[in-house]
Amino acid sequence: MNPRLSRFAKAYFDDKIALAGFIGVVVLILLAIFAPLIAPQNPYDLAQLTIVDGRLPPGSEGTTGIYYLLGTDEQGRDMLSAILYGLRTSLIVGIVSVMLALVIGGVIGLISGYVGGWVDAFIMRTVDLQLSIPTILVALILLATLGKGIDKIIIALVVAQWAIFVRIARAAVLVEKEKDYIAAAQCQALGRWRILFTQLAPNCVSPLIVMAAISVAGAISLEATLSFLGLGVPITRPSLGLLISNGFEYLLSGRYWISTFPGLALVVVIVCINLVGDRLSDVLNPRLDT
Amino acid sequence: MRFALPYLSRLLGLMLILGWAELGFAQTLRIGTKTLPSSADPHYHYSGENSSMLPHIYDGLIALDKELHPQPSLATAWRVIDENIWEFDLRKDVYFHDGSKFTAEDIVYTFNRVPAVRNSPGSYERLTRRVKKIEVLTPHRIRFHTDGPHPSLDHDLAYVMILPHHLGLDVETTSFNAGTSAIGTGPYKFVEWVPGQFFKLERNANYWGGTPTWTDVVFTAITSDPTRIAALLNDQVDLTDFVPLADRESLGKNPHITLHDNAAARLMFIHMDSDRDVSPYITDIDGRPFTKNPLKDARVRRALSKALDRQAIVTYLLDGAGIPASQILPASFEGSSPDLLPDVYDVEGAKKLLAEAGYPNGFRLVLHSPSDRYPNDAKVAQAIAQMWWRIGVLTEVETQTRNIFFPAAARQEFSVYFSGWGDALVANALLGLVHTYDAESGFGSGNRARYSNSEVDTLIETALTTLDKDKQIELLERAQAIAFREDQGLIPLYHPTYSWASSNKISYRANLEGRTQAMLAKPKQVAP
Repeated sequence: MNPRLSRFAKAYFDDKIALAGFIGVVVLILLAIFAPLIAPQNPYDLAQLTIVDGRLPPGSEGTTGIYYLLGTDEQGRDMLSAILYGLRTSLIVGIVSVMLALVIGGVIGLISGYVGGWVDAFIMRTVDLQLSIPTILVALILLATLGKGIDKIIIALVVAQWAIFVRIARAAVLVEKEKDYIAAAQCQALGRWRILFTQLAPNCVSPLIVMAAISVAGAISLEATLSFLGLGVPITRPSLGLLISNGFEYLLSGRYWISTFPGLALVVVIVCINLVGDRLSDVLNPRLDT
Repeated sequence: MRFALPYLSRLLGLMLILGWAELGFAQTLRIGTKTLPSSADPHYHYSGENSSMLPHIYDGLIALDKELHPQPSLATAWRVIDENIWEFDLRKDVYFHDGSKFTAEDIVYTFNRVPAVRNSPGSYERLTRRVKKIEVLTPHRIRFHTDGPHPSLDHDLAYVMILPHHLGLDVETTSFNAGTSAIGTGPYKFVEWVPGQFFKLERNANYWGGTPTWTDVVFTAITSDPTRIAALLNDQVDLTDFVPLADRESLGKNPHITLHDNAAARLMFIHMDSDRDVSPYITDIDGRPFTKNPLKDARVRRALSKALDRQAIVTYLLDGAGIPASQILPASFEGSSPDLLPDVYDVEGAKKLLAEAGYPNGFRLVLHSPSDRYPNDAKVAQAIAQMWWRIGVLTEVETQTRNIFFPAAARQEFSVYFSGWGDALVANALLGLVHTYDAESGFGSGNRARYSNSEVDTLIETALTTLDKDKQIELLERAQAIAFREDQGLIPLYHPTYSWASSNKISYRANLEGRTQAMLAKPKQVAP
């Protein structure tokens, strides 16, 4: 094993809670990947649903012979299956949108910090402008114009998040580019872009990774918020947020399971990802490095 | 012991008096309502909330009974003289709240005022404009001259509230809202109104129709559904309207609460684009567009109707707050056909019809629905999609907020959509929803799918000018049999229910216009 990686792993798993978070994330990702195999029902296939089995409490058996461990919603969707599939949507949306935002924002930030001058000024004022508008508002406006669909929600989340990565990448570049190894690279007469992407970029990655890990949780909860408000995913392919929204009106009438279980699932996802993110930021923080 | 007996009897007497006083307090009716009226001016804004509140203060010439049949009110009797002339006998010895006497002059004044009201967001003129002339024969007998036969005149008059002529034509709406000019002949008098908060009324002891039940009536606006129900459960109000579907089950089980339901004069339906050869949201099973729109074939439309389990939708998604529909208004309405029963849920029959029409493997479509206009609209749309999947019509559901949905539907942006239509008269409802669209005449204003059948058009048009009730009913029944069954121009799904919840000390006459009125509430007999 790569000695750097094993050192990093050792530092990371030193913390028991972080270990739990990591295991949690791995389990959740596996559940999401193998959802079609685990779930008793495909909740997105409308032909498999029947409203006759609607709003059954946890532990009921339906007319279709399925045992509904966590009950059903009003469309007769098995809550367990819906949560597994919803988890998929949430993780895909969270991870993909953050990766894209990371790449786009990171590259722009690197260029901004390295090139400097009016390019830097222009990019940073644009970023300031966007960061002054609340993220949820940016996403709401975008979705209202784009319409529904997972691709649309990813686009909205990328636009809502790229700016913060620009700032972080730029700050890292400003520190790194004054260091000796950059001067050494310049002495070797390496091209500007080559220095930027082969020398500078790898050394600016850690703060970006920490930010990305934390942002995934943020993106998932943002997606849930948008779906809860009725923007985002199509109504027949509910994500966790939309499931919570669907069950919301039944909360006071005693049908707690429609909203509560997806809500718990969302909490677990966000907590696990945040644990991982926090630990990453501890381990990768150069100031704490001994 | 000597003093005990008279003392006891006095105590008993006191208790009796207090008991009566207690009963007297109980004569205040507290209503928690979702919406308050937009004005106290009876000719300002023709809307459901206003039609509900204003009859407390004002009367029309006609009142409508439970089945919406015209009944005497300020008019005691009426007759059709010839096809363009109606004669009305006016009630004698009726006084307005300010003591002035009601005569024919007030009718003339009212009909002159309706078109004179300024800045009306929804004018009452549509109810009065077909009356060309009012002829006063005596102070208590008048004749209306209409511009051609107008069979629903008596019905329309029930919504035109009569004002005293001394108010003058330049009286402003604000003067009604302040209470100064809110003078009618109705059972209750205006006391105080704070828009968006409460509306207070008191008994009109001299009401011509007998002493009204309640001494005081307070309407409190409680917009939020859970808050309104909580107010009822905590005995802050005696009656609430618009009971949310999610609370029906728990309220039904509560021994202190009574639910009052009535089918609404409204149809929830599915409109299908049977007009265009290529419809935007219909493709074959592999996602390729059709050159010939399958919805143009009546057999396909029949199949889509047969595939729907209406009873299941009502039972599971509306908690029983609806009845399966086969035509535009529930069967109790004049012009509804007793023989036209809701389509029977029949998956095999539907598949067979699809195969006969040349689509044995089904096709794909997108069903559009508003998400916040009707109770559980988006949920019902998903259930429709479920049922269509079972016959091989792979349906995606797209829901939109009402402000986006309705303009888009009006621009024919959809292929198939789920929506509702309300009108208390079968003929008018058919004219708006089923008649061929014609921008100029306003016919088919709700026919956003552009269904068109000339036979149905002729039947509706003839019915609208037929004064002979039996003949009119026959025409309307025939039009509906074609439009909703033989040709399946649109798919009737269900009639929603209006529901009220009250404390069990009160009885309420649920009604199909969704009106929340003190006149419809009575205290239940309780032993003193």
